[in-house]
Amino acid sequence: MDEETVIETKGLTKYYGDVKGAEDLDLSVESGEIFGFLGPNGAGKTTTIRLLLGFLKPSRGKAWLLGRDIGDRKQLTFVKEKIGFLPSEYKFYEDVTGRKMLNHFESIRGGERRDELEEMFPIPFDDKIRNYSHGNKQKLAIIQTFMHNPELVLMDEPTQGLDPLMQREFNEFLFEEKEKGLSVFFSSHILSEVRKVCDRVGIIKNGEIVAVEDVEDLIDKSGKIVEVETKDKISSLEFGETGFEVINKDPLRIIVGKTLEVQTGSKIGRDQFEEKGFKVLNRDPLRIMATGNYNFLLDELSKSDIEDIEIREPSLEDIFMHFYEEE
Amino acid sequence: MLPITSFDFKRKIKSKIGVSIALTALALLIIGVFPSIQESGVDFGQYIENLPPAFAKAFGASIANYNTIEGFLSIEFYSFFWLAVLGAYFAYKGGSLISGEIENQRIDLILSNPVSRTRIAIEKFLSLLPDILIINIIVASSIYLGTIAINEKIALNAILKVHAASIPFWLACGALGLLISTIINQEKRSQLYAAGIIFAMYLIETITIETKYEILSKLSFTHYYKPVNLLSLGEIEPNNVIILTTLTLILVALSTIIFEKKDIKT
Repeated sequence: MDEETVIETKGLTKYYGDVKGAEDLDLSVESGEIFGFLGPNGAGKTTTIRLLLGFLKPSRGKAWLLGRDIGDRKQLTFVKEKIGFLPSEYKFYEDVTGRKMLNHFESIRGGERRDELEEMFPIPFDDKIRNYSHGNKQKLAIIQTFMHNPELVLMDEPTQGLDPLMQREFNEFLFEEKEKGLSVFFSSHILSEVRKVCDRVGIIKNGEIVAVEDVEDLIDKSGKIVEVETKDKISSLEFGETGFEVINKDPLRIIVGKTLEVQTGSKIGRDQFEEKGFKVLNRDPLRIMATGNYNFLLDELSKSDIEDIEIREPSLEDIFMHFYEEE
Repeated sequence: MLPITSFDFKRKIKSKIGVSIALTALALLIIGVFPSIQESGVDFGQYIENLPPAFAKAFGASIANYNTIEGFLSIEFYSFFWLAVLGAYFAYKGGSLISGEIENQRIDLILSNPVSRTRIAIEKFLSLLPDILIINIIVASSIYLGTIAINEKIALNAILKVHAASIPFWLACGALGLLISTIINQEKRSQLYAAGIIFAMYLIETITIETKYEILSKLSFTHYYKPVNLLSLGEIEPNNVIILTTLTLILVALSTIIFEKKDIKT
């Protein structure tokens, strides 16, 4: 096993009776990396994290955290000293104060960074947790995750419900920690959240990993979504013929800049695409990237009376529907 | 040393004091009533002897002594509240030790600590011990002082014996609760099953005693703790203490095995 690998799984599988929770996961997260684990709700993200932390026993397969075999209970207990966990639900003892809760965690696993974190994420430490807002519970959860200065942090949908200001602060904090060598495994179903902080993403669908990519590659490959509302119907046919992917006709939604695989037989040649400004990535099957032709798109659109236009990065849902649907 | 035990203990200290106060009040009430019962001169012993034997047994072995403070307290306080109700209470407490953490999803943060599941289960179980000691100390001292206040006197020695012997009994009840709490994830259900089993044991024992089904009474935890005998005359039977302690160890060991193997789902 590579010293630099902080999370490694081999064929990690979990069935709940007949229901598949996760199947044959092969993952490898490098030291100092923020790894996003993306997938729609119910895809197996939480199952994977619970397998990694030993909450669930795998049906088969193995996993290592910081080089320790987590199938071995002693190793698992030992390695948890160096691991932080931010769960998706913040469940504490409601009848104690935040301070006492943190004292308790400190007594078990240490709190060398507690003061610094308490300053960074201030909450009413002497109030009972029962009286905390969701945001305050979240901050308490963040403090307990990082207070013992972990080497690896697992987060299950961490920024759900964080207010935007807090979220930015948290992201900055993650970047700083990453610079100091922290590794993070970060599950989410929101691509825009993951792309801000992650270096690489693994995409999980129906319990199986369908792709592991650099975030930038994923975004580049996936192109941009253009949504246009016009007074009169635009003939979507034209766009389809020029290599844009039309995903809705009224209002018009097309994908620009996405890597497309086109099956054309022999009729459309490379030149025809390059004339229109497409970048041809591969000839057979033809794969083109539609980055270069915004001019063409805008020219075409300007012929119509536009009421609304939006050009945006695709959401995870878009990517699933149009990038991995063939899986 | 035992961070989980001490955290749980401190967290629930109020409920312990509440239970102790309620029990003290009950014991003092019973003690307070005693002089007027004694004065009334009614022969309760006679009354109880006329009941069917099983019922008579259920009232305790010291029926002849109903007119003494020991007998009176045995029947009114120790043979039912102290034995059955508090036995069920500690089983009920034990019944939430693991299931409560699972149902309230606090288990995720607990398990993310560098502490083995075996240790979590044992520390949680040990958090019952201070409860048991506190209740014993408070109730024993108030009974002792209460009886002095009405000019009756129970030998301090007898009171100490009754209370000391309750410790292994309640620990066994708590251990049964712990076991059920590792099997059933719903806190309330697990607690009710645990308390229900102890209560059913008590009933089975009182019903089957001195019948041809007496063998069944040996299965009951309550068979191995006899506050009534201890208060009036007897000595602590080492066999009973050994049996209860062995039972406790087996139940706790089983709990750790089950908890270690358990999948903790969301």
